[in-house]
Amino acid sequence: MNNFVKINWFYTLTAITETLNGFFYFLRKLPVIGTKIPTSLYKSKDIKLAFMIFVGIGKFVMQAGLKLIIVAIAYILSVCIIHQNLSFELFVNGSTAPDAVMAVIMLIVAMVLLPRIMELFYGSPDKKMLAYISHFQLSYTKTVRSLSIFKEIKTLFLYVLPVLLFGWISGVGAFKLALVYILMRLFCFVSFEMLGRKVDVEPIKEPLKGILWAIFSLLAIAIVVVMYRFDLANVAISLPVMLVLAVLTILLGFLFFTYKSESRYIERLITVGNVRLEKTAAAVGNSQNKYLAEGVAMQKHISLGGERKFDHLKGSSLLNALLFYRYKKTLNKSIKIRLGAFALALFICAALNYFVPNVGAYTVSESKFLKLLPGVVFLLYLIGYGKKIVQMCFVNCDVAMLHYPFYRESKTILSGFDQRFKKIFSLNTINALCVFALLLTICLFWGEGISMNFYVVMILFLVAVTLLLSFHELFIYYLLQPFASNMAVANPLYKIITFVFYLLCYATAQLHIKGYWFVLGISIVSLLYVGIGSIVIKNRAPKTFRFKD
Amino acid sequence: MKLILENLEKRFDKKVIFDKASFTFEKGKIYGLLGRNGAGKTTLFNSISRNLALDGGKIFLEDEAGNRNNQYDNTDIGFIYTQPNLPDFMTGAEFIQFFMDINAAKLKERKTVEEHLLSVGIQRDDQHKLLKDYSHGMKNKVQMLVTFMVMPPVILLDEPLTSFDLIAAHEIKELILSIKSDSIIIFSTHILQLAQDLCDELVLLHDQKLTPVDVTIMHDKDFEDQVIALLTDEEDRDGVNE
Repeated sequence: MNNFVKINWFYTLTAITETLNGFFYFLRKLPVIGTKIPTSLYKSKDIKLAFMIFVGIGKFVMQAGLKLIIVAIAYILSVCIIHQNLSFELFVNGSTAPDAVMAVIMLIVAMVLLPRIMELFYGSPDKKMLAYISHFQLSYTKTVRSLSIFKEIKTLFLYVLPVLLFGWISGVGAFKLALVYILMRLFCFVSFEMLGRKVDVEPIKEPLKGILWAIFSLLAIAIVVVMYRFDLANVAISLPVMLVLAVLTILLGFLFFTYKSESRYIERLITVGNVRLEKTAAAVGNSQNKYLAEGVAMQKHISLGGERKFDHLKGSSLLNALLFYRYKKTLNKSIKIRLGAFALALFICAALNYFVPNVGAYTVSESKFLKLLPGVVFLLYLIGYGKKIVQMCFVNCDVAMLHYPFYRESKTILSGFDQRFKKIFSLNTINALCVFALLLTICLFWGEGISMNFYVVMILFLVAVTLLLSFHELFIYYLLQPFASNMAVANPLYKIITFVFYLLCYATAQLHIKGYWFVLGISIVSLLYVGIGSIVIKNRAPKTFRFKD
Repeated sequence: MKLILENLEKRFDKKVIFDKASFTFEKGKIYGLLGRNGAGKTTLFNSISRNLALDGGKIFLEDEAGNRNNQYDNTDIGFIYTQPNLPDFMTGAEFIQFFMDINAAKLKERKTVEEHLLSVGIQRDDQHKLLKDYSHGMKNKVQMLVTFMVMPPVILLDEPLTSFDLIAAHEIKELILSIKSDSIIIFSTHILQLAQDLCDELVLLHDQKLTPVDVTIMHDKDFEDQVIALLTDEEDRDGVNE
């Protein structure tokens, strides 16, 4: 078997086998049915072969269907933009050649140019490709090259089928449009492959990388806009342009197939791919647990030092003080972002008030303000620090320390809880102050008939809600300690409570109940929750705060 | 055949891993690579196996005629990872079958899938289980098996044998000894007894350099103390003395 064919054939075959085995594995995990499925299924070649053909055909049909949908969307968009109208009649009988040509160009920009620009011309191997190479001890150069070329040919083929269809519908000619598409796509492929080989973007650091990416992306989009604006579709498919494109494609293709330092380039791609995989694994966490994603992501930003600063502290106090000190930078950054956003909101209010004529005529009554307050609960929930700090504490401290008996002593647990609560409360207070400043500004500019009682209730409400949001995450964390030592969520109740609390905060924002009683009610319930919760924590946390393995 | 490392340089951000590190490994010998945690043993293996680009220096394979090749293929290096890297949703038998089909031209021995798996102690009942359900030791055996099936000129073993039971460890040791005439074998380990049992030479990766250890001390009574002394930093030593 030819090496190119062999590499691609087994790549497909191993992928289908794994999908199939994964499906059997999933079936065996189902209640009732699962126990009836024997493990011998993995061994039965005939059943597997039948399934593999079915899965293979299914995958192909799905991929082809998806491409048909993508081309159809591009075509409909193109018709809409050019004719400023869309009807079934127009789509079937009234569409013209430029519609289809521009749809193809849009397709090339969206599906070829932009993804490749995002990688800054690198066609780095994905996780599946790297795993295939590593598992079967294959040659990097031969395998990456073969798989990339085959992937391009396969994608091109899958797109050509619907392009033929729309070429026929639009009247431009099925084969002509397909030829235009193939030529443009191949030109982009060989151009980017050569750019990747000639330009090493890896040493370029952020934010320059981001700026480059934005410039190239805007340029690509600008091409489409200019072509639409000046009706250049016919120029794009004119014989001279096509000939130039064909010559350039052949030239670049020749350079691509005869590139001398191919193995060095592919090794560079492998390094990039491996580093990216490691980063992804670190960010997502080994357990791929979304309940700890924020804490895991924060690990990257730890800064060391601070030991001498806390010479006067001991034990749990020292541990927590150091923990917060070492994440000071990342916490400060998120505070600055929030302060910036609120400052912008205040600035917009002031600008509206001073520069927009007649805006002063709009007024907000006290009852309307009272209706706004429950919405503040959801806002404070979204920008609060409770979840972030709890995850940070677990991922960076408790996951290791909970293995030690001294860390599970009652005094240590309660002192840790107190310190963490104070920290979250102090951070959430900054959010509450920002909200207070914003509401106060709106009151001063547009408020009408606002009584002193309103200000008192607003302050009580903000204090109570800040206390609640600072306490809740920590409370359920200490009471349920939902994580196992491998960072998986071992207590499903934690997921349920997290979801219900989110729903409650969201529902509160949706309620537009007038009057003081509702706002006071939320405040009182919040304070009661914190008060009763504190007693529960004192009695229960020393028994519950340990791994759920 | 020789594996020549010449003036290797590698750093991660500010941390220097290799600073002009050089060493020559020869075929027919088993080398033990010793170094403290974080010294860069796995990084060295990743660089040799082309998984990681170096910042400086060169790695060559030199044949018997003295021809140097620094563009060798990654398949010339067999890398056995500490954490076995296998496709979870494939059975042991399927994996070996696919491996044999894909690497047919490179196989050293003509055996059936069953014979191959039995040769490393994977019993018939286990051969059709998913690799996901294999124990760590079993996965490690499969990983070693496929590397030994193609027998590349250089074999790197990153802390091997730690997950094997007594019998399996003994069998694998024998297997490594039996193939040493065909390949350059380098393994990293923290277990000195293993190094003493298997190695012809020891190399220290310490202070960003590769340094050979005098083989005559390998069977001395105070061998462990001597290695500890070699791997102890001046600062640590001062700290201990204080």
